[in-house]
Amino acid sequence: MEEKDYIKELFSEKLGNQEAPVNPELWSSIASKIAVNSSATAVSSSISSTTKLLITLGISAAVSAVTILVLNTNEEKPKNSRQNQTSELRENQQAISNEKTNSEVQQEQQVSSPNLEKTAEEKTTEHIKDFSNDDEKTQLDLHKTNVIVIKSSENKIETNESAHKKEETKEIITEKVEESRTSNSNSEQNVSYFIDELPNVFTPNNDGNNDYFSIEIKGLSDFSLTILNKENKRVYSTNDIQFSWNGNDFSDQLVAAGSYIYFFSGKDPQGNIISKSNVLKIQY
Amino acid sequence: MDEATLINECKRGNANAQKKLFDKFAPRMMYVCMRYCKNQNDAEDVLQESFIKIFSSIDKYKNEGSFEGWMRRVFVNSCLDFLRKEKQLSGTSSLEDVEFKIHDDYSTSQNLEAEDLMKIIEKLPKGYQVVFSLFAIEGYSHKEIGELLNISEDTSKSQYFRARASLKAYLEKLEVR
Repeated sequence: MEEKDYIKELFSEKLGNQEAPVNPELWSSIASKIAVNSSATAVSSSISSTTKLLITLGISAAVSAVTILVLNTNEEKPKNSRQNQTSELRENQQAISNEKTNSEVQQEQQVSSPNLEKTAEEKTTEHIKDFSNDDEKTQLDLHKTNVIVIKSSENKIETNESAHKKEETKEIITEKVEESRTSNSNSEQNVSYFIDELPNVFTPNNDGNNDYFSIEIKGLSDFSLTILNKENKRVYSTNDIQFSWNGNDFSDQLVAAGSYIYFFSGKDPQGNIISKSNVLKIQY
Repeated sequence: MDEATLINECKRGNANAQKKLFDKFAPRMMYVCMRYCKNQNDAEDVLQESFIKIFSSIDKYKNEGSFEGWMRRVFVNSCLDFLRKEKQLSGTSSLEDVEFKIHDDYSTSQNLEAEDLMKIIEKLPKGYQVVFSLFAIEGYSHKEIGELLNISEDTSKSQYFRARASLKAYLEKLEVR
């Protein structure tokens, strides 16, 4: 028989529960990244029925059908920030589309989307009647959101490559979306701010292509944006909502290629604080 | 706040609880990362990534079994992903290439400290290091290791035994002195 594995014992006893000092700055970076995820949960729990339909739409045909049933039983609660959801929706959509690395799945989804949209729109119209609300506006919102849905299916192909790395995170986001379908508080809002797709790569090499980093954002006040490098050192920050960064740090030196993270925040017209973050890969 | 409350609060996205959880486990998890990654920077990257995974998938922890055990698995998996990405696992160096040099500053094995043991493990080729750590320190079975590293169970066993034999020989040399 095997002798007693004292080597194993020795190593496991000595090394099993050791601790190593942790750079306290790591927390701020982790916190900013998980903030995106947790705000997704918070917002999704109060998603409007319209938006909910659309989110569902992005996921899959079968799932949408179920949601529509769920939605019909939902009661409406007033007041919320629709924008949140619109932009969250976009994130979710993007995540979902990233997740689909299989081109067949993509096709399937793209094919099935138009039908779904139709169903969704029909259903939503019913809802709008019930709500006796500003029909036109909601319709408009709906259209906007639809555009996003379509946009994200186009993005799908481009983002496929980066999808591999983030598969797990994506899975989680999808789960959140799914959760949101079952969690029930609905609400109405007006679109009052807009945040375009968050870029994740940027090539400040003066080739005339993607040389500046900027995000199209509208309707946020008290805006501030910060970009950190891997060491969590600030390389750029601004309060200008129409900023455009050329890749130079505070001493006017072009920053090194690599991974960066940016986060920004601002207040929507209702005074809600909106914050977002993303990784930014700089290449030359 | 006890651990169960802490976990529940984290599941609800409570930022304070997340910070507390981080403060509580980060040093131990940092050590796990340090055992697999070559340098501090890599270990910090993996630590960050793993914590983000932990917080976003904490719902998957169903309060069955030790939370720390669950966390460790997430961390070890991230470390392995990292090594795979860095192609550090595909090296073919064999144990025969490794020479253990005895340094005078090592104490004898009765009071060998963690740091010394780490230095000794680091002398093994990366593949052996990983198998050894997974089996001896993390307590994974050879079957699990085989699946994680995409090698056969027998390869895991034989790598472990060879790694152990080397370490043992080395430790004995130290004691004889």
